[in-house]
Amino acid sequence: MNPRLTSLLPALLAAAALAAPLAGAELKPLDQAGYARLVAAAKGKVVLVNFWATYCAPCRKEMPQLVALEARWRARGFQLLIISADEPEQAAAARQFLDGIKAPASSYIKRADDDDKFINAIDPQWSGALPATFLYDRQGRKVRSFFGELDLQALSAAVGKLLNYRLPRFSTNNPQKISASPTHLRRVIGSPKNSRDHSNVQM
Amino acid sequence: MHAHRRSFVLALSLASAWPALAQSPIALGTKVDAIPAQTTAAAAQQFPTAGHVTAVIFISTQCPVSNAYNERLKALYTDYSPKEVQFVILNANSTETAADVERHRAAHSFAFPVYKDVNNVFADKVGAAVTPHAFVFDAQGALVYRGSIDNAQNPDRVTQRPLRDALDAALAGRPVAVAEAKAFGCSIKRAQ
Repeated sequence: MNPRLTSLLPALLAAAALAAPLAGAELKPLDQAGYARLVAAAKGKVVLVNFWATYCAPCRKEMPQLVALEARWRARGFQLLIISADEPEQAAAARQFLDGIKAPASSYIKRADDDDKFINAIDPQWSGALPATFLYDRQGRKVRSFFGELDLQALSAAVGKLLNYRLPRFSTNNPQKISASPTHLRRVIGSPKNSRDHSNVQM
Repeated sequence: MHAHRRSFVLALSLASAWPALAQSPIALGTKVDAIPAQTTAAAAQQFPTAGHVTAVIFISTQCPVSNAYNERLKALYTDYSPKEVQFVILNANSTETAADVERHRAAHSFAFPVYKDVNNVFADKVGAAVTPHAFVFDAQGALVYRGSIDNAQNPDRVTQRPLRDALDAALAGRPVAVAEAKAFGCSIKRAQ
């Protein structure tokens, strides 16, 4: 074998192991160490990790908006990683749901021996309640944790800041142009969360 | 001064980590005199903790994860109430009414009452975040365990039972070896 190729083999194998599964394929199992490698491998991008489950109605509700967010900002260096916290029995249902909303291929399912250690490794402040979403900067540092149903406006602002994306600023010449207006954010990320929904969403 | 500032920053960071909670949850070891609960008849009750080991478990009528534990909840009650463990089963979801809770209790033939934690007051106090979420208080009323019932939603895959271990330790007057054990679950739907 070409010695140069041989020297590249470990890196190629590592890349293959972390490669995102194809849409329609089984969700790729992910443990604690795999999660750390996944985030490290995405350095250079702004990464949003969303934990969800098929049994979690708020998760299913917000997921299409996260998918839309990635579609709009992918070219700017934004990546969405979706990790299902479902049990193995629900893996097929999780895949089916993601396919139904045309989720990106970067979809995984947690397979940790110890959920307590897994949860604490991601964020010691996280209770394990779903949904939970974690934002990483281009250096792979976790900069924000969102517990519960997302405030999409806050999320959009945080992602935009990391992407160095400037939202339209308030113009003194034209008071109609308001910085980061809800209308603008709706255009960018879809309909923002209605805060009243938080208490009304059923499991 | 610096110590005060650190404490303030820590308090702020804890508060921000529990965004839906009105307060930071109590620490392990903190004593609680009584557990407030409300029945379907809307009569407020208090369950004193002193003198017996108490298990408080937050459940949901709708959450599939919580419902996966219905039979295990019944087994816990059957196994530990004869040992004088006081069970206070609570529902803190603002989206589930007292009538929903009573219907669910009857449908699953629970031999124990299920109470509402109105406005998630006690859930906020102890840091209940998911369903199911279990808490054990020793005979002095100190919180000695906060976490999951066991380590798998599918009963066939259970290998660790931290709630039972905590109850056994508290009954024996021993320290609880694993005092916290997180698990994935549905979030508690808090009152706004």
